[in-house]
Amino acid sequence: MTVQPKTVSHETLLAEEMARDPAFREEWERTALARLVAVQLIKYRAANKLSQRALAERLGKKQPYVARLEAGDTNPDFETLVNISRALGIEFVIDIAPAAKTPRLVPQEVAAEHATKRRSGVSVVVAAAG
Amino acid sequence: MDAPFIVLYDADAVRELESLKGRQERTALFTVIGKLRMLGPGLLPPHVKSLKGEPGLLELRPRQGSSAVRAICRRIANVYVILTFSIKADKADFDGAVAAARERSPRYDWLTLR
Repeated sequence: MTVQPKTVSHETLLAEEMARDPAFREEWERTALARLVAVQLIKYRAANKLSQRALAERLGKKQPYVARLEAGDTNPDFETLVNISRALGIEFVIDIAPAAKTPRLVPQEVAAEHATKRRSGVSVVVAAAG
Repeated sequence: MDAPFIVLYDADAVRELESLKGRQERTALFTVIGKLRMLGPGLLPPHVKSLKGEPGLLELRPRQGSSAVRAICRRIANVYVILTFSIKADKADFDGAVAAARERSPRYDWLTLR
């Protein structure tokens, strides 16, 4: 019989990190949009076989602009999201609502799957579709 | 959000991670591993690199390589196993991590039989 090695899942380790370090949790939740945008841009690059420089050209920017966004550590501003959507055809949804209320502007299944912050009394939903 | 890929950490790698103290570095590491979880083989350079001369092993590069930290992992179908970490900006530390990854990798051969 094969003895399976002991492992920990990413979800478990991340949850432990958040429980151990509230400042980490705060920062992680705060930058959910940054990570979402980073994933969308890398996914777009992979689908279109683009380098960061080639993607930057499509966005009318230089390579460091894409590198900053793909880092996923700083939330992009509204104009940046508009630029990405216009140039790449990616749709973004950001819904901010009191946590006690059921969101009315996004489907409940989207809210349930993408909610990132409920602890401070506010539910923040960030989602994207390529 | 449900991720299409599974990321597991070898228990020895989890122990090694305890020596990584800075919150910013830990955040950058979890960020790049989160990207792997979402994108799998769609995660592109400079976030990831194949390890030269080490077939099947990948180097994850937090902050697109500007962090000194590296995670070394192996892919088996839709599962990625983080085998070890290199924490210091030091070739000896990285080489030691690669050796550890090479040694630990066969622990997961059973996943190929699923």
